[in-house]
Amino acid sequence: LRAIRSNPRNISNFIAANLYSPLAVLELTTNRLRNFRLFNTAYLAWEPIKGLLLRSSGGLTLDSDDQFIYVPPTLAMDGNPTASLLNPVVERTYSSERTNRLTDWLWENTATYTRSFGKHSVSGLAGLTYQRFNSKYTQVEGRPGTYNTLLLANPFASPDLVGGLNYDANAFASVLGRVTYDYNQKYLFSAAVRQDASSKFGPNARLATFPSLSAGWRVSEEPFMKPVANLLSTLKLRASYGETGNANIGNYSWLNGSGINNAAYFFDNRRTFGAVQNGWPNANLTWEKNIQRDFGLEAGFLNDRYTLTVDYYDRRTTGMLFDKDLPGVVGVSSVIRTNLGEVQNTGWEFAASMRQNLGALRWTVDANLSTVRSKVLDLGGREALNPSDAVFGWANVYRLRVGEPIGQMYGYVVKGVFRTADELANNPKWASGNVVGDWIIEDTNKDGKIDINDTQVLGNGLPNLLYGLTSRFDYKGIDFSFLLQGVSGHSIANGNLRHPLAGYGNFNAPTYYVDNYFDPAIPTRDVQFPRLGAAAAPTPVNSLNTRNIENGSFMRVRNVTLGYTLPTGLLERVRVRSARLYVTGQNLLTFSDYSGFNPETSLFTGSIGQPGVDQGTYPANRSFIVGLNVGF
Amino acid sequence: MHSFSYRKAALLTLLALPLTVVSCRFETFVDIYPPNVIAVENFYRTEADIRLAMTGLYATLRDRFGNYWLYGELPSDNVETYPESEVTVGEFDKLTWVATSGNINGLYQGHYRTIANANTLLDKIGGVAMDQTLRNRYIAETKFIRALMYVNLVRAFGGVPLVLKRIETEAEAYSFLRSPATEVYAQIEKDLTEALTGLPATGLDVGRATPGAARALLGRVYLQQKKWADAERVLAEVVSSNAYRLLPTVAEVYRPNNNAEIVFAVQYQGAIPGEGSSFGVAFLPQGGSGAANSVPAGGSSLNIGTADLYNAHEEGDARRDLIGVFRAGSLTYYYTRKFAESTYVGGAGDQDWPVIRYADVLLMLAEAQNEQNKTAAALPSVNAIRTRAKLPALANPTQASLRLAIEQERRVELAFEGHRWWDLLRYGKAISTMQAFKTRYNVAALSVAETRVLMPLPAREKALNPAFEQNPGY
Repeated sequence: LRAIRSNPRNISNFIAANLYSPLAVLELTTNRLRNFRLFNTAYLAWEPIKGLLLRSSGGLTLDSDDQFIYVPPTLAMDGNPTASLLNPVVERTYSSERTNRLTDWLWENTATYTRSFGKHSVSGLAGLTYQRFNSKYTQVEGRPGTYNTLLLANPFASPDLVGGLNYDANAFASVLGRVTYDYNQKYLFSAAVRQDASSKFGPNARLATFPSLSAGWRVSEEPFMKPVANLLSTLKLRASYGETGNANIGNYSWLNGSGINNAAYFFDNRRTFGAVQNGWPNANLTWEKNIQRDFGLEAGFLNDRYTLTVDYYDRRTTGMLFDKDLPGVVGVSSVIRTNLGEVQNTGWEFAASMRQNLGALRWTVDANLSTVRSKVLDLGGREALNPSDAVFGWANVYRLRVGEPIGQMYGYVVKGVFRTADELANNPKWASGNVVGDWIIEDTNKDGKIDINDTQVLGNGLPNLLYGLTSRFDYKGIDFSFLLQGVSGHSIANGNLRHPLAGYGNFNAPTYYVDNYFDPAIPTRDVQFPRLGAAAAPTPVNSLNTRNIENGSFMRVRNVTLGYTLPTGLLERVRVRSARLYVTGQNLLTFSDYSGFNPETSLFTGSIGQPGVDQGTYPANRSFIVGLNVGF
Repeated sequence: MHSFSYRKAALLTLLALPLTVVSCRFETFVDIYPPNVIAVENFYRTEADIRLAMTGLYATLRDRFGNYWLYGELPSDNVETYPESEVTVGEFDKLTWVATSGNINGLYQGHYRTIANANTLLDKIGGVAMDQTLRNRYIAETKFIRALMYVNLVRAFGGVPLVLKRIETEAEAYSFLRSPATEVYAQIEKDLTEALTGLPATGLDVGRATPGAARALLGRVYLQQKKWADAERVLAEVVSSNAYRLLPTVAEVYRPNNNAEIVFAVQYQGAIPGEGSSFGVAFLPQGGSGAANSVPAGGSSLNIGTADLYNAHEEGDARRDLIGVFRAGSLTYYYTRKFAESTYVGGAGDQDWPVIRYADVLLMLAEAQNEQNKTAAALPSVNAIRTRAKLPALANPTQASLRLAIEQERRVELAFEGHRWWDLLRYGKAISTMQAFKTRYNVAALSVAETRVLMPLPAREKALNPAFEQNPGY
C-alpha cells in the first residue's frame, strides 16, 4: 500500500499509525442488500356519453430491502485495533439484520370532457388523486460488546439481541380541474386550478391552492399572414402564469423533531415516570410555492423545416422551506422549520431544430440552450441565513444573502505558504496563531488578522448556462446519431481532495502532493500545500479555499449510436418483420478542467442552497452496447 | 331494461367512490401522525398527562443544576479550573466569558427550557379535569420551579425576558425583550408567595418543592435585594417550622442524600443511564488513579479548590478535612470530597445537588438579622455552624465583625455548592476580591473588570433581534 517511487524519501510521512487495511475491510466484511420490488397499475375507463371519459386508475408499489451485515472479530479497525486473523477479538464482532418494507399507492380519478361546436373547441377535466406512502424499518443486532462466539456469523453470535424500529409515512390528496378553449385553433386559452394537501405540513396549513392560466395566439393562422406562409409557416405567441407547490421535505417535517419524551425523576427515592416537551412543532408549516411567468414565441420556417422557440421565464420561489433560528426564550427548541423568503430565477430558453432531406440522406439537428440567473429577494426580514457546510469539515461555505445569487461559496484565498520566520512575521496571521508551514491567507478586510471575516466568494455552485445538441443522420437504412450535453459557469467544491491533501497519513494522496507540501527539511522549495497534519488555521481539511475549488464547466458526448436496419424484403423470407443492428456508446468523451471523477455532481440533492459539492460522486460509466432489435 | 347491466352498475359505483371520499373533507386523508411520537398538541389533556408533565418538569432540573457550579462558583476565589481543562470552562474561571460562548448560551437557553415546560403546565392545567387540591399543589410546585429558574437567570444576567406563558408562535417569541431586574425579582416573589398558598406543610414526597424550600428561596431573593426584614421573617419561619436540623457533622450532609439538613435538592440516580449526575467528576483532579494515589480516577479538573480557599479555613476547622490535597508535578489540587463516590463515570453519579440546605438558611437568617443591627439575635445561628465544624463559638461580636464572620462561614461551609460568586456579588465585593486574588496569586490571565458582575447575554439573541439589549462591556 505504498506508492512505488524512484525516490521514496519521506514516504513514512504519509503512513499513519492507525492505517487499517482497506483490503481487509473488503475481504472480511459481509454487507448484503437484497431488494424486492413489485409494481402494479390498473385502470377502469368508461365513456357514458360521447365526449365524457371517466377514468380511475390505481398504482401500487411494494418494496422490501433485506440487509445483512457481518463484521468479523478478525478485522482490524478503529473500534477493534488489535484484531487480526490470528487474534480475533470476539466481543467486537458486529452483525445486524435489517429490513425496510415500504408501500406506496396512488389512486387517480379523472373525468374529461371534450367537445367542438363549429370553430369552438372546449375541454374540461376534473380529478381527484390520493397517494399514500408507508414504511417500516426493523433492525436486530447483538448488543455491542456482548458477542461471544466465532462459530455463528450472524447476530446470534451475541446472547443479547437489541433492535431498532422506525415508522415513516406520508400522504397526499389533490383535487384538480382544468378547462381549455380554442377558437379555430387560433386563439387558445387554458385555466387550471388544483388543491393539494400533504401530511408533511402542519395541521393548520396542509392545504394549498395552485392556479394557472395560459393563452396562445397562432399568428400564422391569421389571414394577413397568408402572403408569407411559405416562408414563415408557423408563428405562435404565448404567455402563461402558473403556481406550483413543493413538498420536497422530510416526512412529518412540521413536527421538527418535537414530541413529548420520557423524563423520569425520583420522589421519595422512587423512580417516577414523567414527560417533557422537546422541540417545537410548526403547525403552520406549509407548501413552498413556485410562481412562474413565461413568455414564449414559436416560429417555423419553410414548412417547419427550421423551427425556433424562444422563452423568457421568471420564477419566484416563496415561502422556502428552511430552518430558522428562534430566540432563546422558546427554550424547547432553538430552531423552527418554517417558510420564509423569496428567490427569483430568471432566464431565457432557446430551442432550434432543423430537418433536411438531401436526396436519400435525412439530417436532423435539435439544439437547446438555457440561461439561469438567481437572486435572493428576501429572507424573512433577515439579511442572511445561517451559513451551511459544503462537506463535513468545510463549514460556513454556503451563505444565502439578500441580493446575491443562490449557491455562493465562501472560502479563503490562499496566497502561499509561510516558508520563513520573516514571512511569518510580516503577514497577517490566523487568530490563534500560525507557524512556519501554514498557508498565507489573504486578509480580505485588511484588519491585520485572519479569521472567518476574511472569507470571500470563491465561486457559485449553480451553472448559469445549460445546453444540449442532438443530431441524427439516416441514409438507406443506416442511422447515426449523437447527443452532446454541457453546462458552464459554475464551480465545484472538490470534497474528494479534503483528506488526500491533509497529510494525515491514513488516506491516499495524489502524486502531485508528494513534492508539493511544506517539508521543514526543505523549507525553500516552492509548494502549494501547507505542512503535514492538523492545524487550527485554514488547511485543505478544515476549509474551502482556492486550492480545492474548481471550475465545474463541462461538455460531454453523452451518446453516439450507429445503426443499420435490414431491408424488409430480405426479412420477410425469414418471417421477421423488422431487424436493426446497432452499436451505441455512452459517455464517450468529457471536456472539462475538473480534476475529480465526475463534474456532474451534487452532494445535497435536496437542498437548493448547497449546489456543486463533490464528495465522491461516482464516475460516469463509459459503456458500449452492441445490439440487435428484432420484430416478428 | 336493456340499458341496465351489472357491469355498468359496478363501474358507476367504483367511479362514484372518489366523490364520496371528497365529500367528507378530503384533507382528513392526510391527517397522519408518526406512531412513535406523542405530538405536543395531543398531550396535556388528562390528569395522567399532567402528572407526567409535573414529574418531567422536575426532571429538567437535573440539567439545570448539573453544571450549576460553573456559574455559581467557578468565577469566584473559591475554585479554579486547572490548565488541562481551560479550554472548556476557563472562560468562567478567568472571567473572560464572551457573548458567543456556548456555555453562556446553554445557561440561558437551558433555563428557558425549564421555564417553557413550566409555563405550558400552568397554561394547560386549568383545562384538565382533575382533583382540585392536586391541581393547586401542582400549580404551586410549578411556580416554585419557575421562580428558581428566574433566580438563577437574574443573578447571572440581570434583567431577562420575563416569559410567563406558553409561547405559541414565532412572532410571539420575538416579542420578549429584557425586563428590568427589579421586575424579575418582583415576579419571583410573586411566584413564591403564591406557591406557599398551595403547598401543604406535610405529606409531600421527598424531592418535591416544600413550603420550607419556597420560604428559603424567598429568603434568598429578599437577601439579594437587601430586604432584610422580609428575609428575616420568611427564614425565621423555616427555622420555626422545625422541619430541618443541622446534622452532627458536616461530612454526613452529603450522604446519604435527602437527610434532615436538605431543604431542596435535585435528585440523581447513577444506576439509570441519563439520570445520574456528572458534576462529581468535574470536582476531581485529572490524574487520579483510585487506590494508587487515593484520588478517585476519572476526574476532569474543571472545578478544583484554590489554595486561597484551603488557607481560608481556620486551624481545626472540620470542613477543611473535606478537601483532599493531591500533588502532581508542580500542581497542587485542593479537591472537594463532598460529592465523593466510589466510582466516577460521567453521568452516572448518585450524588444529589443541594440547592438549599439548612446551614445556608441559618447563615442567611443571621445575615438578615445582623444587617438590621440584631447582632445578638444573629449570633446563635453562626455559632451553631461553627460549633458543628469543631470551631470555638464567637462571643460579643460587633455588627461589622459578625458580618465578616458570616461571610467566612458561608465561604467555607458552602464551598463547592455554587454560592460564592453570588455571595460576593451581594456583598458588592466581587470585583475587589478578584482583583486582590489576581494580585496575590499573580494570575495574569484573570480578566477583572467592573462589567463582569453580569454575564453577557448570548450573542445570538441580539443577532436575531436587534432590539434585544446586551449588558455593558460585551
